[in-house]
Amino acid sequence: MTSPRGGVMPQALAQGGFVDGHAVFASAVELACDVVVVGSGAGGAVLAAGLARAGHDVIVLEEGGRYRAQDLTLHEGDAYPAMYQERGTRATADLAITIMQGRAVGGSTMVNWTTCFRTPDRILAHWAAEHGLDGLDLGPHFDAVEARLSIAEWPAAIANANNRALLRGCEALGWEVRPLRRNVNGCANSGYCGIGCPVDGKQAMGITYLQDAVDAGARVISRVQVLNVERRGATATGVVGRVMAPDAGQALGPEVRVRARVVVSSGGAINGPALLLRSGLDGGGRVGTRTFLHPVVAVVGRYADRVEPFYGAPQSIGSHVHIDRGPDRVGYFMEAAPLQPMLASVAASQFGVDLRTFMQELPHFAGFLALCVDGLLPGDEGGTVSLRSDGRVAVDYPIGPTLTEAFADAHASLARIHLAAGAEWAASLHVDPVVMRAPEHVARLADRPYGAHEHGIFTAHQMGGCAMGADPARHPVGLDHRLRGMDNLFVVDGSVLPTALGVNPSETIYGLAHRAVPLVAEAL
Amino acid sequence: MAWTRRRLIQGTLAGAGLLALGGVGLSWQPTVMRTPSAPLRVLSPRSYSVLAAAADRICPGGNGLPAAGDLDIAGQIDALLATMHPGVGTELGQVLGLLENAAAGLLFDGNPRPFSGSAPAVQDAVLEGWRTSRLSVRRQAYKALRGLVASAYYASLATWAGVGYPGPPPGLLHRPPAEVP
Repeated sequence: MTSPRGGVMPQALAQGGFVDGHAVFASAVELACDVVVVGSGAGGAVLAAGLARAGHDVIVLEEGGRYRAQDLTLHEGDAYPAMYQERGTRATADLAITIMQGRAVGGSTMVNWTTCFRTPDRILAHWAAEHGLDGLDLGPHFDAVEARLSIAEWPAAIANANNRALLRGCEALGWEVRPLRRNVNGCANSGYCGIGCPVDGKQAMGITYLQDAVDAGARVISRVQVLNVERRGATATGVVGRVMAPDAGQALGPEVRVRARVVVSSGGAINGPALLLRSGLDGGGRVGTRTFLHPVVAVVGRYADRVEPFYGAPQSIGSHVHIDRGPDRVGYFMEAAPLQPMLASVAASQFGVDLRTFMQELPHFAGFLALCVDGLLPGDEGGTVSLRSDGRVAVDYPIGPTLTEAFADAHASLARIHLAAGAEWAASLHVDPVVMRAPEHVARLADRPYGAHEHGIFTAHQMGGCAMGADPARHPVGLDHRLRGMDNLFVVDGSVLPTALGVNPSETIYGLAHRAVPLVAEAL
Repeated sequence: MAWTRRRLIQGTLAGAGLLALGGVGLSWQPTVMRTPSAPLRVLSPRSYSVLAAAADRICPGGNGLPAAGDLDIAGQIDALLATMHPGVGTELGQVLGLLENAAAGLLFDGNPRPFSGSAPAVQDAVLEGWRTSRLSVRRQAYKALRGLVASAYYASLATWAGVGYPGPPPGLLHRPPAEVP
């Protein structure tokens, strides 16, 4: 093994710990271990902890940096470029859908809004019926991760005004609504989940499962972008990547090669399939297909009182009243969105004085989201992940008529909630916004177009692209998380989901990764 | 005839070609140049100047807010581009070239002057034309441009008070934000 920077082996690299690859590797390096896990988010972290505790030698490679509470400035202008994919500018190839996805030690768990749900029974039943995922018993795994991550209901009594408006509006309409569960312990209710928790209240992977992995001897190496899985026939022999400097747009640093008996792809639903595609592992053309995004539309409400949507736990109230809209329609669920200035400005489409006027209402805005559940209807294939000729990843996501119908219905629902909650007015994020001051104005939404570039569309939930299931012709990953056709290459992250979930996905990924620990260990 | 011309450029390939055309720069009138507050790392001086002109229309300031130019938002975007894949800077350069390109402006908007040298009202009309265009390539270009400018501008500490955002509550901060002047 060549010497790391300075010729002195850091203790963390020798005995386990967090290692900054950029600070340590000055020249090409080769490491060896039992299991190399590519990606340190909800899937990779839980798996790494389980395998390390079982006595296996684990290396986790992460492209992003390690951000601890004391490193944070709570400034959007610092946080999004540092902690989000593509410096916070990731989007579908046509720019129609803004993609919010973390890039850090701990992955998206470092920047998510902490909402936790178990996988709904209706989704598990759909997976059993349509994807052959029979007998997927995640209950014990959810019990374990809920205990480790302090997942518990956030009392409505301390919900912020943004979420209280959602509660009030749904109750006034007689719609199902409930407090959400969050993975927090010692939460300061500050509202900064999306740009890194300043008090380590959020039980993100960096301070939970990755710490557990390190305590059991794992090496978590940041700022290394893995470029390829190396293999001999059907046997993965390791991975190769390069050091990525904190201020670089490409991984151009020293080569990092890790030899391993087992390789795990845990880079999430976009970067994970991209790694496999770069490595020539396309799963018979199925890798990078059926990518689901929970496409999100939003409506803002202007309230007479200050809402201060930038403060307080971002999501603590939700409604699933429109999750099942019948057999031919896309359902959706509704939650609140924190509105700090930069995020709010991205949601709008105006410029000039119109944008300024919109932004100067910020303290009086509440923001509601509707997240559309893709992948459940026959023929709903979602999007695709592919590689551009210059090496970048492309996400294509065509928006068809079933989705635009759901967008239209969701806009109306969100506007009705705002008005029922007492908003002075509600406004869509259309190119030509619809402003509604009374319930009868909601009908005006029907005159507007829906779809790409007609209004704001967002995603914070990336799923699929490497579907798990029973049919080798449709599912590149088996029920044991093994990539079909490979002996020792596993996929453990949100990319294995065969459909979207209809709930925030983090807990499902934690649970699947917890279940995967003994399945991966069998290959060792 | 207008309908026919529009049909011709609606195709994806034609749209992509149009963006490339912007990168070539067919304008016969010079760009009105602006001076960045720090050496440029990605954008050409011409692209920087067009971006700065657009930023001043996207975020013109007033009513308690600074103008984008006061914060050198275009310079901040150049610094951000230096941390991204070089393809992003290339694509933004193409968008800015298209915006500036007088020939393209004439074709679409009846404006023969380069964007950087046009009156503010004309610049606003050009941006509004892109924002509401039925050509997806122009809406995409507008979205990219607007998103970069608005996010850099409203992330700036100098705009927080003007939008009623008091900033992180005292006591939470371990480190002060590293603000770009």
